[in-house]
Amino acid sequence: MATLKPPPAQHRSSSSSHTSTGPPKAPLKADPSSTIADTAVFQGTYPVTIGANTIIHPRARFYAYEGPIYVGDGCIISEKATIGAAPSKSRSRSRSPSPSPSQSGESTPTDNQPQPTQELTTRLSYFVIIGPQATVLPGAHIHSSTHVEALCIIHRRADVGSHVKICSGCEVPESGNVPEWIVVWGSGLGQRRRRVRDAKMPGLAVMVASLAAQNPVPGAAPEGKVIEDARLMVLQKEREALARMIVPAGAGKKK
Amino acid sequence: MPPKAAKSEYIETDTGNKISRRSQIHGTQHIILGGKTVIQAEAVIRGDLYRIPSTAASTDPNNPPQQPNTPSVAITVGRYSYISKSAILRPPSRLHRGVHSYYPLKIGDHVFVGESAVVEAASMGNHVHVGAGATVGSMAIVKDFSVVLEGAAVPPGMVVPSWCVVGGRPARIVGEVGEGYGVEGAEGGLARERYRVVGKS
Amino acid sequence: MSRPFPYTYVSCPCADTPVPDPARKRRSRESPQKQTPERTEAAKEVDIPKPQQTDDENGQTDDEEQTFDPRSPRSNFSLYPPEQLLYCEDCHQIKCSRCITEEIVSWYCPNCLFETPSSMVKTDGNRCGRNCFNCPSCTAPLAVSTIENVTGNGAQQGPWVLSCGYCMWTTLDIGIKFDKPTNIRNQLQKMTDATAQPAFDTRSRQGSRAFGDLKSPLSTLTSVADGQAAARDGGEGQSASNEDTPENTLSNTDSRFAALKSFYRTQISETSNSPNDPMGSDFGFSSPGALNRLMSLYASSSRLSGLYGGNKKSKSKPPVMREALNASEGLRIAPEDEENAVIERLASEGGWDSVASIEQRSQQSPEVRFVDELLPLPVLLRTKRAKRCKSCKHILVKPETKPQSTRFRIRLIALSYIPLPTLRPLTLPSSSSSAPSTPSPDLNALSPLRPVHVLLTLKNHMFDPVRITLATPSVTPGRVASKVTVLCPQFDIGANSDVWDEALQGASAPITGDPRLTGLRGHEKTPEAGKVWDKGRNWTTVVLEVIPGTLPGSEADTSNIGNESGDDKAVSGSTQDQDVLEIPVFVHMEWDAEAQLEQQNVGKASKPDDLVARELAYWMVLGVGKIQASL
Repeated sequence: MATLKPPPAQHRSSSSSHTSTGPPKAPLKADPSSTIADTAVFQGTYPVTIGANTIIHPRARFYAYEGPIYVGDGCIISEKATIGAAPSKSRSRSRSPSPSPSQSGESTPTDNQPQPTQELTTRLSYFVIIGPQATVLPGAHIHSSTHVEALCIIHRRADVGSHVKICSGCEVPESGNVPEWIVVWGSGLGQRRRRVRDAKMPGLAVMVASLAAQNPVPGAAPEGKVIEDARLMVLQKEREALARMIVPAGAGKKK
Repeated sequence: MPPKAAKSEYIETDTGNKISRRSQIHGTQHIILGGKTVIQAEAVIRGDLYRIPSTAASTDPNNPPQQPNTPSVAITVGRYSYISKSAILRPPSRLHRGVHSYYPLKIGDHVFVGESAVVEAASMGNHVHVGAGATVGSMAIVKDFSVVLEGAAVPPGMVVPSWCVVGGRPARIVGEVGEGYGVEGAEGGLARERYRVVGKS
Repeated sequence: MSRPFPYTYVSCPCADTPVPDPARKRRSRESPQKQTPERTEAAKEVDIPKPQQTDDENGQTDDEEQTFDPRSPRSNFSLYPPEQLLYCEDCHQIKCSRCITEEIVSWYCPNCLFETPSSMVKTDGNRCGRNCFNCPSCTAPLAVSTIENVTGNGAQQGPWVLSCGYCMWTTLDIGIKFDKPTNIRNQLQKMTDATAQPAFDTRSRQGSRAFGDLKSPLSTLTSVADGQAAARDGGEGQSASNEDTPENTLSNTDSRFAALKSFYRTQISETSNSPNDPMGSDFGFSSPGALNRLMSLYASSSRLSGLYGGNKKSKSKPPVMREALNASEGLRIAPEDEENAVIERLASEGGWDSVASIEQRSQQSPEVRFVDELLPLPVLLRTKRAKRCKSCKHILVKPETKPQSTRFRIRLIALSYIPLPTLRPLTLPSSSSSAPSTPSPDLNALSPLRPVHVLLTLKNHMFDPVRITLATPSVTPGRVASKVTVLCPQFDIGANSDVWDEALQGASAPITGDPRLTGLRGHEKTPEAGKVWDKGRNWTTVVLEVIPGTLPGSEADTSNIGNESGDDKAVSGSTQDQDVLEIPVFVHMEWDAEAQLEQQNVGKASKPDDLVARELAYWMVLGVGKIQASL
């Protein structure tokens, strides 16, 4: 489950061919067992590390301008998801006049950045799903088995615990913290709900009903965790299916 | 207004589909467009997520083994439908009997999918309007003449009945459209007009 | 409103001329039961010429020349998007949702789209009786899924749960699993409802009470209705509930309610003086006749005196009604430590997260306080409804009963009668003298005092050609006075001839209607007074010249949209949306229609003798755009 896998980046050449003209290609370290679609975009000056068995859908974008990006094992990054921030957002003034890309990432963090000198590591732990068009801004840390749905925004330096679900369209504020096993849902600021991990006794109503009916109290239900286990099982299967379907970087790619 | 490309922004196919050169379509052989459909720039259509007929799932004894390599359809879109900028169409998937597979996404006629909407529905009927920034969850069924409001999150597996308006997160039925919805030229019936103006001006 | 510019709304005339409501008429005839026939006759005659009468009544507002003001607070209630309006062929009038009555054609579950027979609706508590549930946490639909299957072995056996695909709630959160994937609602009911099981319930009470915990507004109605039946065997019910072990059965709110209800019903019947008395045994609070009885009570003076002066008259004191005394009668004394227990639980266990929100609790039984007591909610049914004209009872809309069908047996929408208005900005080539050279003006930021041309297209859906007269105030009402000129206020629209004509003409007809194309084609074309801009088979386009006014704040203070200036003229209503440029347009249409015999006349339609002149007039509002604050 190590997030850093040193093998040489086989995907680099082809991904660079797509982005070769303008912006800098981020140095990509991808595990050989990962599947990276040919249309995924890797830009920036800091390295991007992709863990084992991770799936990168087409049109996913990695912008490593403000710090390195680590994606752990067994993740799925969906189409048009954005990890990191495009330079236009925060550094448009400094970057756009001079298209010399090579060292600008490190040399120009002087304008409106809150903490310009500090590099912001974006970290996705293992078994993380990032939905379509979701955005994970620099400095965010998403822990294991967390599901970020479509169109979500995880703002800078947010910390999202493990086994969390961020429902579609929800946001985690800057430097926000979502504890583990929480579901963030609803609109606006969103509501939070704690998922149940252990076995629950049937509620009062159930007890009373079975007493009244002189039935035995129904046996304890399985632990709430089995649902999460099942979900991760589905995730595993989905990854396997996707690994067969996604056109990987480099047409004649080894599997 | 999308910035004008040097050539015309849209390619018009034999059946009158207008497809932006900057659209991002994957797996074209698994996509059927009914004609006169518009696909705008940066819209992503995932035809590459088609259903593999059981070959991979050799563990399952019930399935007929080794279908000949007929291209299975991942996404069908009807006539006069409109896929806005940055929208995503992606076939739904689920695990069934231990096999994870993708199921076709069927979109009817006169459907409008708003900007940046994410659609993972199993089916969308005719004259469906999906507002900008809405998400339609996996395996949802959106029936004819229904409206998904902007920013709504239709949860996975939800059924949106005909003539209903859903909104919110998660989406609930919040109203109904009028009886005249979908009449040519009125609300819900603007698909031809929308199609016509694409690529002009 | 929330539609993007440009939009068009049509005003339903009912706001100015209220439709005579036959329900009111009937009520006035029926309720004074002892009315003399001539008076009823008189009442009828007063009611019938209602439109004129009401016109006279609010004569001060009934000025023919008065301009419709889209900003008036009343306009909110009369403006509709055209597709929402209906048309009554008998009244020859536009009908909005307030001019109609509705009747239910069928009930269906919005989740499984199965129809529920009307006989089942009540007993099912107006909810789906199948496997459709909403998440008690977030209201998303719940799916039935098996635990065993997903964890690998595909056996399709083993415990089943309801799970929410949105917020990940499952019935495991409340410690419930199901043995079969079918008939979940019954299984759940058996598990959670104590009163559903014992066999003491004879009739529909089982159903009504069992579903009481669902807290649907209709379910309480149901139990009220059932109350009549229960009232008659009230004694039996009470004795039956006595047999039950009270501490079990009556721990449930609904069973307590039922017990209290039957207790008080017997109390009322026991304490009433005589069987003939109107306060007799069948007097229940839930009795539908109660109101009538009360009315007649007041109507006859003897009864009044019997009520108020009854103490003096009555020789024997009536037996005093007592209150419920024990648990079997439905009494429950709040345990002293209950609140403390709740507080303790709050402090020790979950804290904030464990408490159900107000929204969640509003759908649940009143005892529910914590999230782990929330029960899945069977999906509320929806209806398909037929619509009738309120004044003539003519049926206007009748959908097919099948939930899946989107067809209508009858659908008289206004768009089939009034021309469909569409509005769009005129994009003139830069050579034009009058318009700015920008390709299309930004409707969300119109510059004050700079003329804008908008094209108004009216498309006729009738099979007769129509003559249209448009009228608009030269200056829009409200504080931002924009000047409006309809360059061609009178014009004809062709008939909506056979659809095949359009098909045979191929693409040519619609293309002429293309705004961009006509714009391109007519490079030299300029808006000209007295001339229609463009014309098609069944549509005509005219030009409106609009000079947006200046916002009140903008002359003095260009930076502000005049929030502070709102104080001095607070009378004219709120200043919000004053920058929205809406133009009221009065539409008068005339056409020659076939005389009443539409159906029979199909064969000899062209006979001019059968034609009658028709006219229809209404206001519509064109939402052109928003005016910028600065020049």
